[in-house]
Amino acid sequence: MKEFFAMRRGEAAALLFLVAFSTFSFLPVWRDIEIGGIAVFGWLMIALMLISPVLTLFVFFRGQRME
Amino acid sequence: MLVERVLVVLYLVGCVGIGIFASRKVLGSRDEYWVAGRRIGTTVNAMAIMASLASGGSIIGVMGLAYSQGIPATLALFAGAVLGFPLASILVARQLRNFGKYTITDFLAFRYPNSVVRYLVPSLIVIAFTIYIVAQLKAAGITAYALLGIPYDTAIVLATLVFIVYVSFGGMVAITWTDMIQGALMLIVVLGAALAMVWRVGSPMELMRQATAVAPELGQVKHQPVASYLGYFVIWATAIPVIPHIVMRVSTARDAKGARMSLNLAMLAYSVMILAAVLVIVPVGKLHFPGLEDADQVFLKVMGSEFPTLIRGVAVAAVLAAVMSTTDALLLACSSAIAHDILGGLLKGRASEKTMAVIRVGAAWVVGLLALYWALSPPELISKFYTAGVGLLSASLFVPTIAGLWWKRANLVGGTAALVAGAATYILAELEVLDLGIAPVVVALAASAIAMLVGGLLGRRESTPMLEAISALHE
Repeated sequence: MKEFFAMRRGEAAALLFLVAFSTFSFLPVWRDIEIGGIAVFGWLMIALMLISPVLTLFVFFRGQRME
Repeated sequence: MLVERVLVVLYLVGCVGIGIFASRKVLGSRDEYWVAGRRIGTTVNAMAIMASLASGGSIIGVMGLAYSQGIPATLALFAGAVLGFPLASILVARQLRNFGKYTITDFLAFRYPNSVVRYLVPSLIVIAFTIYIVAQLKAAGITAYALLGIPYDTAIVLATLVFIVYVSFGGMVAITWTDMIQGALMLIVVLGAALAMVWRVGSPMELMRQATAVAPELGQVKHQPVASYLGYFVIWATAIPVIPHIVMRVSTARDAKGARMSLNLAMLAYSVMILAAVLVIVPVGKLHFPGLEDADQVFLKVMGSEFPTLIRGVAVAAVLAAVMSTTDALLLACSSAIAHDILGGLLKGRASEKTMAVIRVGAAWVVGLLALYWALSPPELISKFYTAGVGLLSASLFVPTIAGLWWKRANLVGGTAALVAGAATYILAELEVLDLGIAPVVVALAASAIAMLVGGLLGRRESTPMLEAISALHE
């Protein structure tokens, strides 16, 4: 890892989580299952659009506190 | 249509007024013109970032798309942009704000100092953004004709002249204030309409249940191939951290903290607006207007049926605001690519500040009038081309920028190869010369990453002063 500039642990974890969540959302299985009339893929996209800003703001404020 | 026309005319006059007012302060200074003196506050910047990203497509297009293609596939496109914000906030905002220049070309030409990078990057920006501006102008013309009855040609000539005037003379200061007003207008109209509709029905879930019972396809995605929406998701996720009109906004913030907070708040506002539009207004449209031939009409049909004339007029202004807030930011970014990146590099130290001021204003007029000329008889597929234009920028700029900021082995050979490989592969894949059955942007990003890896590992290591300079950007 010494070949990379250091990233704060919280930020790295948030990025990894969001990329993993996105990858998980695009699994083909979620296209065919529906909940409440909406494909699970749709619910996962809604969740991504809500989790993404909340998580990033949380990481931002946590970083500010630690500074 | 009198109320709508009066509101739109007042709005356009207001934009020109802001441009002329700002010009007294900004014309003589590069810092004021390109990055508003780097003193834009967090809330104003967040609203301006949101407005710059939320084009006509985000109001009219998102609802039309959800109406015709279903909610899940539509959200995939816009969730890509939402994912792009944390990437921008964590991976580039602090570093590019600390870098203290104006454009993405400034950073890449510093990190990979050669003439290929110095002139290829702005050239790609000019090509991609001119197409993007033409697409936005076409949207403005069609919208003005459909909503106000103004002929297409008259509408785009009028709209283009208005935003050329306030962009060319008012620079980033004028754009920031007009975008802030435009962003607030969009947010108020979409959220206000959605809240009023939810209030009547009781809950968004009930609204969704009723709509999907009548039109089950609204909630489905299985009829569409994954590649069709995965490509758009990746394009926007990788575009936000490097797309020039967002990067310039990062540079307008007071400091790195303000830049990151602006991006985070913009992401929140953008998410909420898109979700309100897709999860509330579209289901109402599906229930009340189930068989629309032109799906893009759904927003205005709903506004017309649910609200009085004055509110409908405000909605029309919000649609035009969405178009203009993106177009003005694109025009400034495009003119910065010509005046600052290309001509500024060529004339370095040989032109006076007064000459550079004339060049800055002239570049905006040249790009604006060229786009206007093209928009008067636009190609049919221009709306498809502009996403391809953004894809070209993502494919070519994302890897060199992120690796240049984070990977110590990134070097001149790797950066240049990644830029060229990303751009070339994307163009070949879009033209179907190279067809691997995967979204072109995914193929191009992989090619760009491989080029960076090979160049970085086989080429000469970066000098210590360069690595120290990059390290300082992270602090």
